[in-house]
Amino acid sequence: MPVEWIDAHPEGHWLLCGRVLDRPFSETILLGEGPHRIQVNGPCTVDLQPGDLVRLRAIVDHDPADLYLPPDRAFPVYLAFESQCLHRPTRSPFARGSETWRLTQDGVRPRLALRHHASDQVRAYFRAQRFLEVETPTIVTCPGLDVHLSAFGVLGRMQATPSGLPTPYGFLITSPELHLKRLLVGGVNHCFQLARCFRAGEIGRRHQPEFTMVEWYRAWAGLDDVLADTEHLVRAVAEVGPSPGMIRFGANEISLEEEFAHMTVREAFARWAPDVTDPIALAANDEEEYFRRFSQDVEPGLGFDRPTFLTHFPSVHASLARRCEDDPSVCLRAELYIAGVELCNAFDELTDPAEQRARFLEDQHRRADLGLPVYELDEDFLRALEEGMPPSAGNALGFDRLVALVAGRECIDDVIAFPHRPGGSYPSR
Amino acid sequence: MGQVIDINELRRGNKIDIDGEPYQVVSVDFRKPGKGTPSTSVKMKSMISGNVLERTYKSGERLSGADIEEREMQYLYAEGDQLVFMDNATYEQAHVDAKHFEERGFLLDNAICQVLLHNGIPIGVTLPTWVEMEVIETEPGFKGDTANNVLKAAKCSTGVIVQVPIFINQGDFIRIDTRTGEYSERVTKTR
Repeated sequence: MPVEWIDAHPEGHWLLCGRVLDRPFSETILLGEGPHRIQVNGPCTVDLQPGDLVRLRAIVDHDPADLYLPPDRAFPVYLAFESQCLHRPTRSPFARGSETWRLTQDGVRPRLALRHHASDQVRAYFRAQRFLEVETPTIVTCPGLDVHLSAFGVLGRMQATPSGLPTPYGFLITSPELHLKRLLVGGVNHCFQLARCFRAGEIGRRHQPEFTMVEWYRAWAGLDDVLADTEHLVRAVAEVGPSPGMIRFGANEISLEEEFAHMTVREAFARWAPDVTDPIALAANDEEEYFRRFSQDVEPGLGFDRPTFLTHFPSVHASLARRCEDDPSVCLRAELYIAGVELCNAFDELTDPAEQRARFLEDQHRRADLGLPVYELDEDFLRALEEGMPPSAGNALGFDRLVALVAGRECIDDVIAFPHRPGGSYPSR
Repeated sequence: MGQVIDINELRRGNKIDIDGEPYQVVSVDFRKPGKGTPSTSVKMKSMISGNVLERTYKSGERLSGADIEEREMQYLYAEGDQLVFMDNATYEQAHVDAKHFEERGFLLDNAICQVLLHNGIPIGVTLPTWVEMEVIETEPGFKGDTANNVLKAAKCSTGVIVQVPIFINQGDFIRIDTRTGEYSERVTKTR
């Protein structure tokens, strides 16, 4: 609410608090913002100016909720007979770049409300499915070894050491995956987290160095089970958006009513990059070229008719997913695409401690070859796998991307209150 | 040489050199498929030809920023296909190829213009926003007919033809917006 109403006086007097939007006439002021405006008529006891934060005592004969004015309508009239200016700005709240401008004129505020309702929907879904919502560490000693992710380092106590620099303390998580899986080992069969994740150097329309991930795991379940969860979550979030049952993105309208489509990586290349005869082999032999063709030709076509799960990724990019038993060149990993936007990454989880250790060592070698920092092996996680992780599937879904998609926004910045900006001026706009 | 710009720091509006030609960045699109390598697609427009170019860069690649300078200079005279400008502070002269002008008719003698230099070589000229010129030839004006949007052609002192309202007469001075080439108003000026 841009204007606060504070308790009704027995005689219908209300305390009305807000910002003066405009004062078109000497006895008329507009309170509020954009379409949420209230006109107050009457002699003011102080000389109010646009931008002032004010408190007024007014006579109101309607329910205050009915008073917000549509932008193009004549205003109802109310009388203020006691007015108080609480703050006169020394910096214009209406100038481009001001907080007021950013949240109102730039339209961020209603999208923050959508974000709030979306997280309610996510929690409600998992609660109904009897999941446990958990919180796991944000600062860790072993961030994920994924070759193409870089973690932010965390400095320890800012006190002088002999070298004059603080001692390195750890890293910020790139995802909560390893800790959530340790919970699976410990017997938490269904868990989820709305986790803040951090990835250095990722900034763009659909990337932010810090973002929110919905990550969940189901023990004693397979990939199809978490993909079914994903469908329900997308529908549940769209329910609180401007077009329930549908994603409106640019000129596209994508119905969520039908079951989501499935397509393998091979099928997707055959359709959008048919000159690549064997994308699985290409991924193994020339990763750079594979990803170039994938981003340039395949990805922009995915999920326009229907939301589409891309499946059967090359095993070289299995990460922590199991290989397919009948075709070990591909793995049990799926990504959901809607309107060319990748929303999540789901795995049928690798539970074999020996294979997991071998993959981590391989990642360490590749990181060393590429001159990237080589993080330690997470021995706590590997020990947990040795203890025994039940067959499980999990998914990590980009919450900011889902909200942006439902809001019909191209850029995830638009649904974040304080996005990071390129060039290191974070976090601001 | 301009400064070196890391691809991750590149922003819209940056000016970069590609094969010796200055380009202005129109859009920067960072892409990174799941578990994949990041790349950045850059759309840019040549500051000379206006051609649009799209290139994809790998993370960590570096681009060289274009050395672009805008200098206030006065137009002196034409010399064949070249137009000669002078910096009134340093008396330095610059020869600008006439091909950089879409419409030379708005360039008046002694006009103070902004000359765009790339590595010290002129690549474009921004004319003063407003010029005032005398109408040397037009149909006689009708006093009574002041209906909006009725225009006629008028030839100005440099030979350029501008659409003017019907009340403008030969010998009148008019003000023209050089960005649009449109008539703005009649000005009182004595010869």
